[in-house]
Amino acid sequence: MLTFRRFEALAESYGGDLRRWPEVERVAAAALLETSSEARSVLERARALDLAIAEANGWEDATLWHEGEPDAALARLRSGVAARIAPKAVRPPRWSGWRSGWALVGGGQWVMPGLLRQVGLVMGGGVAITAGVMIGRMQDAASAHVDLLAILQAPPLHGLW
Amino acid sequence: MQTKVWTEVMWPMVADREDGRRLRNVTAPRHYATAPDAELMTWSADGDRRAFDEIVVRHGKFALRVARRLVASPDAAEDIVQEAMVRAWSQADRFEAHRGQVTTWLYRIVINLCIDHRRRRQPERIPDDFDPPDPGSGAHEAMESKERQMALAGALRALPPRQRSAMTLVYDEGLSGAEAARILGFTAKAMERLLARARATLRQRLQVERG
Repeated sequence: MLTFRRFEALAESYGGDLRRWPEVERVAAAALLETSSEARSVLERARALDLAIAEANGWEDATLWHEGEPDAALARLRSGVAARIAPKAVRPPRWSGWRSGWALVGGGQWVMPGLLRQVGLVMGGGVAITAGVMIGRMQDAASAHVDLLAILQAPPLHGLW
Repeated sequence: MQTKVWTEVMWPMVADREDGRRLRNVTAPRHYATAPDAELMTWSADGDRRAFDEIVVRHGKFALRVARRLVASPDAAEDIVQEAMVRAWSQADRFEAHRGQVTTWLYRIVINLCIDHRRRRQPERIPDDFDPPDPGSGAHEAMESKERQMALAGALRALPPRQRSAMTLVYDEGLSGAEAARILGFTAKAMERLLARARATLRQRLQVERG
């Protein structure tokens, strides 16, 4: 049962359109309207204010929104949002070449620069040391070969004749 | 050549992006225009910007309308809606379809930003050229009506932010009191009180105008 007082309070809040009223109280409100002239006049007063509010809003819209403005504003919104949510350049991985030391890069940044550089340094150092040892041994072997030839080419029993 | 195709086409789909999102299920066709809002939000959470653009297209105008109603400066209103949309994008993975509609969620973000903006910039003035008098129309009645509308528009704009938000949602956007209460985070009773106070202020202003 909806009291007149409650009806009045609802009209004061939600105005003269019952569709805005709480769903559970609409049927009782409609029933009260059927029987109470006071309720009808409360609703009439509420509708008059609704109308004034709607006119004021419509007039404000006409003043602030010019022809085609909503579409233009939406277009600006779309491009603005698109620009702000676009990910910053995400580049596919590529081999950057000899000059940067064959490092795998993504998005223009080193992926594992420290590790790759260390491995490169260790391997390069190892190769250099191995090459040095091998060259040294080759030189020793070459000089040994020359000495042997000299011995072989010397006249036999040279000191005895 | 094949490497180039892979890197250009596949990499954006599999790479971890700066925002930490990774596109999934990209092979399944997506029908953006017909997809429900909740699905578009799920795709957006996966990093699908086209899906989010569809959300902006669908709900941008209402968001702009509400923001313009709550914030006097059109530029500020547009900035607020843009910020709201960017927040919606960045929090898309937090959207829970079972807890409410996308519109409710967006309304909440937009209105909260508008309320914050108004709190920072109170009081707001109506622009001086808001309603230039029309010297051509001699009709006294029309002038009176315009003056009344202007006065009421001014009174609406001067309402406290929460009352103004409640009035906008219920009287402009046509939401029920319960829906508006959900958006603003009020109980139904609190919403009723807010609306009643706002209407009482407006009625008083209208009576003053009518003399």
